[in-house]
Amino acid sequence: MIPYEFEIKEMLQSAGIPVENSCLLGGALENVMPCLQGLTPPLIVKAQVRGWGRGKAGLIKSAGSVDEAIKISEEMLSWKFQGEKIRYVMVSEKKTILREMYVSLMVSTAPQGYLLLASRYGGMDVEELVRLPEGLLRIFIDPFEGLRDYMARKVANYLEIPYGATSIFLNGLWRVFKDYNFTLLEINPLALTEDGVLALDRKGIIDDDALGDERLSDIAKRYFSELDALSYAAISRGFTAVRLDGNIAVIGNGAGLTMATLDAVSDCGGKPGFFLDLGGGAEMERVKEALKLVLSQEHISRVLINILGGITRCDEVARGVVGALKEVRGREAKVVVRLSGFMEEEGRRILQEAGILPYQSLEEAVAEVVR
Amino acid sequence: MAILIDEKTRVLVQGITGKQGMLHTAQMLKYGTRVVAGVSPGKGGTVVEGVPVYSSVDEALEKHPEINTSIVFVPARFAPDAVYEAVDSGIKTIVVVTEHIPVHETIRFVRYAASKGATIIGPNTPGVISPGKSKVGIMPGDYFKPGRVGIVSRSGTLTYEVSLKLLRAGHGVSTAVGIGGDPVTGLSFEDVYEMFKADPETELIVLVGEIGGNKEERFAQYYTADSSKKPVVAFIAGKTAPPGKKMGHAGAIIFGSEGSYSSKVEALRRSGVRIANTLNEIISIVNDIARPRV
Repeated sequence: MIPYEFEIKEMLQSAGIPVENSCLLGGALENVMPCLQGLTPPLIVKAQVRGWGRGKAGLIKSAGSVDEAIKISEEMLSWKFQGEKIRYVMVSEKKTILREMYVSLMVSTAPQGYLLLASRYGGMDVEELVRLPEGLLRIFIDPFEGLRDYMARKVANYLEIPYGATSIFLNGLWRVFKDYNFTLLEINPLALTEDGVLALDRKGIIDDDALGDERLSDIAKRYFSELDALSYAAISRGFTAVRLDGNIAVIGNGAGLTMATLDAVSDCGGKPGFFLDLGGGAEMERVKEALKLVLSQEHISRVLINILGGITRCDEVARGVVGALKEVRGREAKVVVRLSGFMEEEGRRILQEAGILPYQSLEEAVAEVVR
Repeated sequence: MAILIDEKTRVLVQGITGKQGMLHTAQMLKYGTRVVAGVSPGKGGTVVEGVPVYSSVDEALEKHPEINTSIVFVPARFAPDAVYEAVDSGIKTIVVVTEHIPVHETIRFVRYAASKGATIIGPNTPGVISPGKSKVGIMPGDYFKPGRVGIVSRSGTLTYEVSLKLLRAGHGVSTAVGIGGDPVTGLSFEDVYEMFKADPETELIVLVGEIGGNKEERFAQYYTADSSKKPVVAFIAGKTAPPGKKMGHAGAIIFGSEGSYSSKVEALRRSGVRIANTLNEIISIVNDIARPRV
């Protein structure tokens, strides 16, 4: 999950990291007026989005006065970013930046631990700039050792900023990274200004598997409340659902199998229109909900359900399919089912009774749905 | 021979009184796996599917010192603790089926286990099966028959699909290992490949990968440098999946273009791995290398 910049800013601030003054717009304007009047122009107006590429999309603008900032904010609040409505705008005091730098913490999968990355170049093109000579400092952090002082000294030396400020900044960043289960936390730019070193922009990704954590409850609540109906329906049932352009929906159990089924449909000349991974142990109700969800998509005219047993019981799957089709009677769609594995025979019997011919091999089922 | 588990494997089930624990204890016993004890804190003294249950791993080991492998069905919140307990009791092979464990937790227990000489399989794995010898996992046993193909995979059900196809084509499996679907896992593709290389019964290896992360690219790098290669056939799922959203500059800095289907397939092909473009191509390539034995 990608949290908002203003959410991360609050976390960093409470960890003692120096940041700029700012106000958040999105609710009633009169509530934020006292805050805005406390800011000293020039100002910078930044749309709050869940994703990267905001600067290049023209969603960061300068304003000479509070009035101008309000005008720009109100305009931005009517825009969209990557298909998502812009709900919040942050107005900050614009700092004179002497130097832009980059610092991030991320999970390292091999060796298992963490990576601290620093670059003396920051900004939107940092991934190009790190290729310059000495453009990147990379430090591995052992999970049991954590961040050590020598690492902060190394970073301070490399970035040519005072050790004291670097240490406060890195220790705060490390604490936020661990406490809130970030898998990536980026400060870009870390800016050298007349007021010292400030973390002027902040982005990150929080581990979805940690969203139940007490400390993340407000942030998780905001995130779930913003999901569109389809994403919410999928997430609350433990599905992974992706809408695509074609007309054939693919439902499977397990990400790898569902992707491979999608690939097989494409290889056969079909056009996938929906991807839905049920996850493991899908029971009758969940299969029913999945098929109903898929059939609620108008662009879908064919559905391929590919289930391999294991944790999942084929009889439950069959009952779910039959149940869903009963409930959406009248919806024209070709439904092809491939069942194999645990309780397969019972599953086939249930489908056949309902007039659906189950397939035993993936290739036959794919050929049938595309035909 | 086989890798990781065989007829000498004696299994402890952690979380045996839960729904999944009970279901799969029954299934493993039915397969012939020697499940000798279970653990469930506070439920010591009870019996599940004829298997005695203890309140701690130490108590189970005291009564059943022959235990050498554990399988964890404990819910995500308590699973890391169960792993530490197994490691501290000296169990050296631990299969973590549990999914949705936060990655910061996984990083720690995987490193801890490694420092104590224990191997973690998973998390988020279907487990391991050495057909005809032992099954420590949740895969349908009938899909796997003994043979000479080693399978290593990031995925659960897709592994069953591959094995089913091998079976129908007359090929059996020495061992199938699910390394787990999470970004951080105890075993890498290289680790399992090394084990298969040392196993004379394994003639070739089928690697089942998927888009995302860089585990396949890392394996390709390793395989390139290997001077005595055992044949590897790879299938990568996700050829037609839509490209993911950009996830941070750090991702781009560290991984570059790694993670995509073409990055993986090209890296593997360059390293000498044979690429199956479809699931059925896995079989035709395996047919090329090995003779059906079943």
